[in-house]
Amino acid sequence: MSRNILILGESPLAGALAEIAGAAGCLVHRPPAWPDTRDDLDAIFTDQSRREQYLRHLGEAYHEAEVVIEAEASEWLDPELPESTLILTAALGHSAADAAADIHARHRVVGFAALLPLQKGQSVELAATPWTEAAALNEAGEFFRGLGLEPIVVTDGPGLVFPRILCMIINEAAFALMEGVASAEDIDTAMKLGTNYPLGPLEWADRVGLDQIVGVLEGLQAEYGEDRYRPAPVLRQLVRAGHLGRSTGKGFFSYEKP
Amino acid sequence: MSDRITTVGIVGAGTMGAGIAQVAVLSGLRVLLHDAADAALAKGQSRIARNLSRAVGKGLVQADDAEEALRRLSAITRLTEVRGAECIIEAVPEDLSLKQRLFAELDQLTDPGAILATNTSSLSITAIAGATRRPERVVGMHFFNPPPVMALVEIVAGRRTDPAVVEETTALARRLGKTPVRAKDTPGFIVNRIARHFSLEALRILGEGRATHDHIDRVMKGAGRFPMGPFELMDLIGVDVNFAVSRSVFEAFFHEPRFRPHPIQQRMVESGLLGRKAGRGFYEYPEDKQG
Repeated sequence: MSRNILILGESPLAGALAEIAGAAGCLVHRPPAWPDTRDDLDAIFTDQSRREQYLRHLGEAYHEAEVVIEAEASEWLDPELPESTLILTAALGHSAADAAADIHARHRVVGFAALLPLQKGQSVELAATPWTEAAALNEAGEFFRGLGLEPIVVTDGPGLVFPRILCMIINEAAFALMEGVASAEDIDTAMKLGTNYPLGPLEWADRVGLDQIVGVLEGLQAEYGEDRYRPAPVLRQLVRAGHLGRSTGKGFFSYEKP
Repeated sequence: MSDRITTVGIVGAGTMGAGIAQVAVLSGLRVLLHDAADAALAKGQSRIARNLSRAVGKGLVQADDAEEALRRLSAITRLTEVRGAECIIEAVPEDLSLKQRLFAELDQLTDPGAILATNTSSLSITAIAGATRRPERVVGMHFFNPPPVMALVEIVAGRRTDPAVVEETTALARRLGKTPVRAKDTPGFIVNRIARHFSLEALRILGEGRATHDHIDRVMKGAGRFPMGPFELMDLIGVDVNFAVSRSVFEAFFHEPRFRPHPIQQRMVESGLLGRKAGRGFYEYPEDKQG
């Protein structure tokens, strides 16, 4: 599968997708220094000269992209993307519809959800927005299948199915840790041996990225307005300290710097 | 330390009690197994014998070892006979007043130094210990079902449990070949608290019509590499059992919204769709019902 793919965002998930797509024979472009935050992104694209400079920087990758995968909304890029480009937006901290609402070619937007660690053969959830055309949803399925991933279509919403459930499990483990119910090691051991989870919830959190988990929980809390989804303070504290998990060398556990 | 424990008393000869007894006799401990119902006691005893002979058949246990293990097992019909044990593990049904009555009785008839452990999965250790005059020697030893297979034991300290008793029961769990973890006496301890969300959030997603139960199971296995989906798991352990634990944890946390049970569970229980054991739950199991 040789397709031109533009992957926006600096998250570990964007990195993993780039790796898988590259291995599957896609031509992967990742713009250097894609802004970290929404504010930085807005700052670049609302300034005419910075905007042009950035687009020149993207060059052909931008004008020839067949698939754009984004962690942060790309409505700034959107007006000049080819009409046929498929736009895949991560439905984690918000629904796919939330992201698509700002995008001009919203009929070409399909939501997806996956969490690290991402491996070949794993399932990826897809969700249509109210504007998604059937062809785009099919193309998205074909695209992920071409990467060796198994698409499953579900209904749109923050975190779709798997990230939503996993983040709730991780959040509870974080509350339990914070309340001194057990040590981090014992919590992970208990969940692996007592319920046969493939990973302990806290080591899992460190792999996914704690910022990602807080994002999904906040998205759910905003969508439902329910206390049920409030993130455990210890999660927010670790994120604030920059301890995002494996990618930064520290989260619930410590790691050798990658 | 736990080396001084040579005899374990086990009260309740159901799946959990008999399973723990089996593990203990195979680990070289003497076991005094009791059940208030003689029929249940006989059934538990024969279950252990059957499991051991199966293990011999599969080559997992030497025939001699199994025979010796069985000789270490004594079925006792009167509770007073449990008095020779240094540690007593209670595995009767999850009913607080039943357990409190039993612990008050065990407190009267056993040596004051004996450890009184409860295999409760969701009741408060502190509440059970309160029925005795020795709360410092009462501790939770939560085995998982089935005990011969599952490696985990949660060692739960009540509000007044002596740290030395926690040490002794931790060492005892290791002697039984298990992996002990330590937990504070909080609702659901570790596993039954954190694992609630696997089913509860899945039920919310189902209730909102975002995905069907088999779709959710497929996603959880395919994306999360969980060995079973939440609905398959609820069917396996019993929709009624899962609902009862959910309610108990929700009540014990004074209605914390994270633990709110779901009406779907209640309707399933009301309609007798209890899972595998009923031949139907979220899925249908025609062959299980015939067998």
